Amino acid sequence: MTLTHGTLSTPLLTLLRQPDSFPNLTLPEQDLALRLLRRAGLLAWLFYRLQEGDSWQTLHPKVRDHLEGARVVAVEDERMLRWEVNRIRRALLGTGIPVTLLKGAAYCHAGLPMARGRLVADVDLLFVRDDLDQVEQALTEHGWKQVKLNSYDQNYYRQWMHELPPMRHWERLTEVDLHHTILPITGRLKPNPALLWQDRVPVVGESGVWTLSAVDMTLHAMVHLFHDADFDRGLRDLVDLDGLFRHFAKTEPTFWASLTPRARQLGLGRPLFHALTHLNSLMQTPIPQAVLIDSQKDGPIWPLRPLMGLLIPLAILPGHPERANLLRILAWWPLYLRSHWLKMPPTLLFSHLTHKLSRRWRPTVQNRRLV
Amino acid sequence: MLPDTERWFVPPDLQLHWHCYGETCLVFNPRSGRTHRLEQWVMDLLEALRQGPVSLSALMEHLGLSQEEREGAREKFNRTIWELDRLGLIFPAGL
Amino acid sequence: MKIGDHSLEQLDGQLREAGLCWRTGPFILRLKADIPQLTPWLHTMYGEHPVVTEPEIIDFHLQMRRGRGLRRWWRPQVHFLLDGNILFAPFPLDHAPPLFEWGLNLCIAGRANHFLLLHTAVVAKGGRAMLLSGVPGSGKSTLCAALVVKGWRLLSDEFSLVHPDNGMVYPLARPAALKNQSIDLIRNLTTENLIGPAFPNTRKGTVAHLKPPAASVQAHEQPAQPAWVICPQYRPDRPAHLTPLAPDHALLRLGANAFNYETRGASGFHAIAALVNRCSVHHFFHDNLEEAVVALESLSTRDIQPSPSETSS
Repeated sequence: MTLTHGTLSTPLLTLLRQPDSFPNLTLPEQDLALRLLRRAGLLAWLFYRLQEGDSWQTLHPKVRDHLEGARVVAVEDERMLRWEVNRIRRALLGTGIPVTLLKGAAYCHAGLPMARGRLVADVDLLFVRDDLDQVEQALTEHGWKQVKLNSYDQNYYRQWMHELPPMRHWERLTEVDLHHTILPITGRLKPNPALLWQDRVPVVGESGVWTLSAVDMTLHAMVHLFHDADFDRGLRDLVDLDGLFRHFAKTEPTFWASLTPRARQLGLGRPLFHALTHLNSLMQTPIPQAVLIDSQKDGPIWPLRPLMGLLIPLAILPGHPERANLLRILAWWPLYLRSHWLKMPPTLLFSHLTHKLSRRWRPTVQNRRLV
Repeated sequence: MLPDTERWFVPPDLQLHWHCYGETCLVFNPRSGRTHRLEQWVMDLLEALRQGPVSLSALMEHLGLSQEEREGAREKFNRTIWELDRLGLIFPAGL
Repeated sequence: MKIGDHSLEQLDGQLREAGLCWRTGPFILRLKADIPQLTPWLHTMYGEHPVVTEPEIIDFHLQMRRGRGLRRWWRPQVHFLLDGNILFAPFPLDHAPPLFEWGLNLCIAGRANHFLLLHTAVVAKGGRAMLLSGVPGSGKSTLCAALVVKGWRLLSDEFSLVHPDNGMVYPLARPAALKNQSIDLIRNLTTENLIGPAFPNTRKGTVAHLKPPAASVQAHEQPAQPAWVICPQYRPDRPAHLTPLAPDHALLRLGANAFNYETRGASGFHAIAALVNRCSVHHFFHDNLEEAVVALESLSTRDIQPSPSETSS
């Protein structure tokens, strides 16, 4: 299945599958690729993939400058992530409460190769729900404060979400998200946090720090991709997933055998189906045929299946930076609605969306990512 | 005031970067990414804490302070330890 | 081919269609714009800058676009875009040139992390660079412009692009922004007409630009060796006087004002320490621009070797 819009997707996907092919592009193609990858937060990712090969010295000096600049930022992001985890451990010292890392913090502390060059904005942690009050208190004593939210957002987080409102350290200005499960509590998909908790694995050399198991970490990355209405980050999430699959397929002997059963046990069969389908078609991630076939049972019925198959790549793949892309915007809206449908009961959905819509028109400043 | 039962250390793998100008040192902590200006005696204190977790009293004894000197210096040490902990240049035992 | 070699019509056409591509210092930018007021300003101020016609990796894809919607009929505005994204609130249309300069500064400050980016003006003589470090209002830009008018080479009025490997400062000879009274102070230093049009009522008051000298622009591939760090401070009743500044103070000051000191981590720390060790570092009070230039000229003919520091490996 190849679904492309415009002429950009094919060369971009080739590049994501085979980063070493970058030097084969013409200079204008390289220029455009750098712009698209920068916007997707994947410039430092390209640095590390090219550095692993032997084409680094043959690159145009300006390409090296751009990639080197991106590497500097990514290295600083990783330092920040490790230091925040250390400071959180410092704040929780003496409480006996274990820290379980999610997403970027987990990839980095688990030493996964795909974590290198990955940009990070904040730290995501999982706690047992009963510990959250004590965690919040300990963090407050050590300089974290609730990020100021309007009362609507406060309510939204407290009542419906799978995390507390984010906390920010007054001096370092870094944010930490405190989760008690990996999906919103009102959502249709309700993976049991106790199951995730049971299978956690300790981080080597950091006492009291854990990550989800390889399979659970991968499943969490999937629900992140298909449930958060953050499709601008979709490309990066897709590359993350590809990296997780390729790595765990090599290091975890039981990875493929346990993936589908675990997904079903957690009620995440459908997201797994979507992820496998699109990783297979877009990234050509090596997935055993048996796993693909088995996962088909969890797919949606016609006409949802072809529709999602059409919409997801459209929404994820970026358009040209200077041309508005109507197709992409059209694809984005149904997926945005769907992601909220999955998160909340419909009555709630209506009030949330109207509220969000009215705030979407405010100008947003995202200089860090854009510049 | 910190309890004297608390013991402090500088991890062996914490490689501080520094440039000293007379009695003042500028120190870059690669973990926190912060730069600090420290007096030479604080540098010596950090060096002493590389030996392993010690309590404040044991530290002052290690630095060769007499009993009276210790009483006089306790508050200064206490504040310094508190500040170094806050900056992430030293760590309580168990971290 | 330089920007100044084009006719205004040619320039305007390129800005409107494919975009005008040119090199400034180590950067290549491409600008698309539909702002008639901008063309003559670029034609003069960037007149000496080389146009890029070959395919290249472009550092900044920029657009300047008039604001849309009903508002444009009574208060026309202009947007600055990087890679198709609007970065900040629009400016009034007749402030397009200051907006361009300001926007480009923001792009460089946010993106050029392969350099250590110090927030100083830089001028040079004989391959040796003088860094002028000061908070806004200290007279750093004015002093920089005065030195340039008196024959020093302009590297930048805003950035020291320090290469982390060799410690050299790379040139970025763009128009130097002058504010308020500084405009006339510089104008009075010379009989040549080097200053562009004044833009009143910007967020920084009245702004005008000093055109970078041709020789400074042509030297865009020649870095300079940092030799002096000067922290100027204009004081109405203090005759020009240099006082040595302790290296640890200088390091902290340069680091605290840098654009990406923390982002560059240990490499930034060592790069600034090396720079401070190599330079003679001074506070500089002055109450008269011409005397200030003389004092710095005379400093530049002396050679002071600061004592080296003790250092971790």
